[in-house]
Amino acid sequence: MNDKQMLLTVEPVDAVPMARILRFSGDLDSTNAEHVSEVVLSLLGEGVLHIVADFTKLRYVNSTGLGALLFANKKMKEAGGSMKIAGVNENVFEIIEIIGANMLLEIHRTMDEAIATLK
Amino acid sequence: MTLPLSTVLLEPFAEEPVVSVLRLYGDIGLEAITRISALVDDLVENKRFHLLVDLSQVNFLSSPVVGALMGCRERLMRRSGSIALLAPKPELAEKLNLMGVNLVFPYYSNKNAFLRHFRWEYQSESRSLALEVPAYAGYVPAIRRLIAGLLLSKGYTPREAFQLESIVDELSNNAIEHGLPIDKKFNISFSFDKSSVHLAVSNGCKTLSSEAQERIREKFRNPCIIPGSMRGRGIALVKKIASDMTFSVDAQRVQVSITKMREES
Repeated sequence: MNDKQMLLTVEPVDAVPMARILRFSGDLDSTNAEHVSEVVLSLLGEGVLHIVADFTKLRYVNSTGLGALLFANKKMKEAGGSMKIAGVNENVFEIIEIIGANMLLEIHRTMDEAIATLK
Repeated sequence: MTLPLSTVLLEPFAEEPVVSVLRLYGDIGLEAITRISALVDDLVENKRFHLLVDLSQVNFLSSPVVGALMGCRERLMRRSGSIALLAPKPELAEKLNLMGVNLVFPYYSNKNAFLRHFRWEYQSESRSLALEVPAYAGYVPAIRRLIAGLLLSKGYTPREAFQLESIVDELSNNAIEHGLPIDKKFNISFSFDKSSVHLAVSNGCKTLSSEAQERIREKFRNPCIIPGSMRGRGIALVKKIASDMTFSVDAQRVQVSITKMREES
């Protein structure tokens, strides 16, 4: 039902063929967290090693959604890659902090800053 | 009853005894100021600090009278009282808005709107909601957004509404995933007033052994975030956001209740 509330799009990163931008929009929660994990596994299967998650338009995240992000982060690292997150709104960041996920996730202020670390 | 062109009356407000109604009729000019000030003097002397100014029969209100009402407002508010305007005619409302009066005095279009606001602001009236929800995750987003929207509509900040949205979400998903709801539904009881929010999420369950009950209690008592684990953070999150969390677990029912005090009221 709520999977319509979150849009997830995948875009290439200029000059970094093994990287993709994941643009989140809406709410990431128990109804669509699994979809995020599936997309990440699929990208890994295609040889993608780096993900930059754009949270600029992500309004809400819950603990299950964060679990999916931690899963994605773990899988990318196990493959020798990385996952970066940028553009986090302050309410979402507070949830990430309370859960302690800020210690595990690489969080950047802006997308430009996150993408620059890939080059 | 035939009233003179300009009339000022003070009456009790039948629906709310602590409020007095200053009823104005006709064209209210300079000559009314002494009368209005004397009536407010009496109110203050009698420790009646809430005033509703009924403008529904007013055609004209002079600027000095508006100034006098501002003075009354100061006197009442210094004593933790209030003053509000009731039902000005559209032409008068437009004029008052141009003078910026709407930025200082709340307007209400009818008595019920005033009463709802007054009882919320000054008499700790609460709003409540009880829901029986199918135990399916797809229903949770609409419910958590509904509750956040109710809080926002009553002046809670976006951060406060977001935090309550998180609590509703986590406790609802916990009931669905771990509460073993026997009848495929769970219950949400929600109430809030100007200073706090109370929420209880409960479900009936198939008979729990005493060991199973104790495992659930332990999860609520000591929720832990296991580093590297993808799940199990919901209750820990709720416990950190809420001001207080209690639970009751018996053989056939699990209930988690939280209180969240406002930090920014």
